[in-house]
Amino acid sequence: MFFFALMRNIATVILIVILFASCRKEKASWDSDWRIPLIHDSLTLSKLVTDSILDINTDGSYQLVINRDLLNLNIDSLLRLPDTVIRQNVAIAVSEVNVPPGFSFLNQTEDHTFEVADLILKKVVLASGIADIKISSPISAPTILTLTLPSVKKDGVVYSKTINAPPGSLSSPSITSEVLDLSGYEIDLTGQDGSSFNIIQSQVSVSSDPNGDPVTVTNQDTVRFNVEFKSLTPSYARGYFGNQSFSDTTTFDFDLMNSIVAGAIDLENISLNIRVENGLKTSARAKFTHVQNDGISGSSVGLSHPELGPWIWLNQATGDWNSLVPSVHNIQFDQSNSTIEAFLENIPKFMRVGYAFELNPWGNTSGGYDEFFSHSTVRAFLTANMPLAIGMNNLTYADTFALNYDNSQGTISVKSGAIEIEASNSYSFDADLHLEFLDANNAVLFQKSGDQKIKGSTSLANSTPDVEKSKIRITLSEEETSKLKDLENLVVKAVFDTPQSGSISTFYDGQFIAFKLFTNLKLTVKF
Amino acid sequence: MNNRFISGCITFLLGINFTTAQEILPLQHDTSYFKGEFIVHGDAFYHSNTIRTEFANTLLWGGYITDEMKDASLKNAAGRPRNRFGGTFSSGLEYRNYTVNLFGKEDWGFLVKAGYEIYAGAQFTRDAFSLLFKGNAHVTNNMADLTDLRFDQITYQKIGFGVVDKRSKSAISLNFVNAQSFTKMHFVNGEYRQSPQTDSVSLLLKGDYSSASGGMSNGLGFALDADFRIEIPWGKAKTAYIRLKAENIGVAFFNNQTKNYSLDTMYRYSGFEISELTSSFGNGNEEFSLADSLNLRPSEGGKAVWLPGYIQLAKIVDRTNPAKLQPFFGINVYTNAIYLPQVFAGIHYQPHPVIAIGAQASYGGFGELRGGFYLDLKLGQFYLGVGTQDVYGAVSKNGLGQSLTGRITWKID
Repeated sequence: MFFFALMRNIATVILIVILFASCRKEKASWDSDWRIPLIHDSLTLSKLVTDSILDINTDGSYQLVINRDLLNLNIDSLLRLPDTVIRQNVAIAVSEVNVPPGFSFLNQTEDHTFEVADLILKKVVLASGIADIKISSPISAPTILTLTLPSVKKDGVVYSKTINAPPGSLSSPSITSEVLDLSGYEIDLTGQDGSSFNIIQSQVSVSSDPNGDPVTVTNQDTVRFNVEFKSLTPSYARGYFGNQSFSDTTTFDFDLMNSIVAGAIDLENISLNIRVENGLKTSARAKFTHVQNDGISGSSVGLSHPELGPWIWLNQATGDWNSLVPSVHNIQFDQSNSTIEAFLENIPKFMRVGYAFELNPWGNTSGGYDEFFSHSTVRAFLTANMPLAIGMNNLTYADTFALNYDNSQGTISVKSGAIEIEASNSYSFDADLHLEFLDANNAVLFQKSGDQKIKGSTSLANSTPDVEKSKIRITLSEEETSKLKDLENLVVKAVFDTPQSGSISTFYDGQFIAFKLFTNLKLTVKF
Repeated sequence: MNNRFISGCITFLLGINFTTAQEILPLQHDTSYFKGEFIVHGDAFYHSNTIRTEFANTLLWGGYITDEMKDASLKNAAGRPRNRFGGTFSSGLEYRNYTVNLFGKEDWGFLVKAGYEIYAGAQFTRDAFSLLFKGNAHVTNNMADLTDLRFDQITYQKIGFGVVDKRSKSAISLNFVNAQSFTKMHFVNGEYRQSPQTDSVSLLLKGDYSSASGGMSNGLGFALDADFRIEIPWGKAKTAYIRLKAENIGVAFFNNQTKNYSLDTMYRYSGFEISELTSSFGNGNEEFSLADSLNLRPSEGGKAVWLPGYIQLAKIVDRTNPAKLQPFFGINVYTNAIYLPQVFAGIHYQPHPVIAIGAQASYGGFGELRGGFYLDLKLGQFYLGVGTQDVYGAVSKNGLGQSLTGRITWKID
């Protein structure tokens, strides 16, 4: 009995040990504290100098320099040449003739009209385009067909094409085709007398084959020449380009401002210029119908100025192909003559500029001697050149980062932690940091703020400002850390303020905000 | 969990396992004649010169390791250049037949055996322990010595056949080994440093790491077991037995799936610049990999790994000796760099033929001084033994190890 009792007890112990070894009820775990540097960086505006957005003044302060096209129209936009077909059909005048070998029996020149509505074109040089040529002949013997376009020249050589056409019939004429690349061709549209316009000439001739047999030709044997000018793009044009008017609204997105979500700025010494250029050798006028922006707050602000709204008269450009000088009209905006301050302090995210343009408002006053060159443009160009000096009041920058952090799985997880920032700031603004932790539905899991601001220098206009040092801590509790498993997006917000309300800070070369970001984490290891 | 359960079940099928101690029950030499014997044994122990029982038990059996547990072990580690922690789990069964005359030799019987073995040992600095369990926020003097860190672990099963001398009970056997898993790490040189504000850190590591795991078999091998008993004169007209035991002397050949890392690098880190972070996110490289930063690329290939051989030279207890008190003593060692030679000595007291008890002290191995105790019963043909090599560790959370061993021998008349 004793033996069996002992064996039973041993077996029980064995079983318990095996069960413990096999099915450990819980994992071993411990916490450890880790301080890990995550980011070290220094933010300055110097990179924007290399990007030509900023210049540095002699006193070291930054000058904001912005150059941006508001409008840019070139010859393609202002002069469009439609596709045009010229047809020339030739036949003998008598009822029938017997033509010996090598004898020219048809030779005819004809003027055709270029269909360009109310434009008067005297000369064009083509940047690109094609002439699609088709010739059909019913003559029952081989013939030699010649097409010449006397007003179409390249490098001074007239276009001419000779084709050996095979025999045809009235019911089944022989067809010959050719495609001519018109790039670089010059077309004189003044006709045979040199004083007309929109005229293009063609000359055709038909000969019998000098090596063939005599051939009988009737007045029913019509040879048809068909030339289709397609996709013509001019690089130069002379004539009268009509009284053209058009208007449009162009829009601009200021992507940089998409991250500014709230707050206000204060600006001073604003200097903005819109330069309107006419590079056409023809008179024109233009006007800005409206200049409006949508600010970060959602409100729209219009820009007003005496020259916004009325027509602006634009003289024609002067000079020639190599010496073209556009006429220029400048509109200068400042705080005294416009609402530019309110316009910019609305912190535009989106801007609309409405404009109208009219070519030859007084009709054909040049006798058809207006000229467009390939580099002729009508252009409105915005330039800003002013000190970079801004007052900030709760100006809030926000950016969203997609983050996925599942804290519930794996051997190592974060139990709690803190983000610590050591900042050195010589800019004259404070910055307050806020974090929003969002789930997949962008619902806020929790929000955290720094325990103090990143302090800014108190000197507003000093090229060697003091450097303010700050240490900011954002603590995550265990409860908050446990919610990180649902984290999908992290919104980082920085709220900027200049030291005193209404004050304006000047930005200087050499200023910086240097910071080191640490994570102090309590990690739980489980295995 | 499944592997552990399967391992546990196989162990159960193979024989007994207890949660502590290697071979401390003095093998009792028995010169009497019997036809054969059937031995089931289970030995398990862990031991350290630093890590306290409370800490080790929580690590092994699960639970939360408190700062107090860590600090107590760290206190033990203070002033020691190297600390050790290790243990084994061994179980098996063996059948010896003394009736047959193997190869026609009258003195030769045979034995067959099977066993399940786990060996694990670690050598570490106090700084490495602190860094792992407390983190870099608690690194003293902004530096952690990670030199000469070692970790060895191997799990295998064996089946053997051998020859046994009927008279002296000496035996030698050759075992076929199934190599299940191993990990071998040795950082010859290592150092972690951080600046006073922890705004920059550096990690120097030079060493090798190899590992193979997953599934029940990742290679094959062989091992030799030998157990020689030598009769010597002992006192006046008495004799005693010296035992030389060598176990698991062999090698395991792990297959081509073995991952081998060789590391000789200095990694410095002081955080990222914002542009580096944004470009990384832009490229979809959201995950930071320390292995990539260390340029750590594994090579795969077969690897021969020495088994943790065990050698013991001891004066053992003679069961047939009528003396009530018998001393025993000896030295044992595992054939690796972590386990130091361990000396032991004890006294065996047999007040009645049915019962015997013993006590011993040992020094060395994975730790330092330990005191052990065992109980031995003879119940007819059955000999039952149970004991511990670490009495203090069994009763106090301040101990430095635990040990339990058991053996059942059925002597067949």
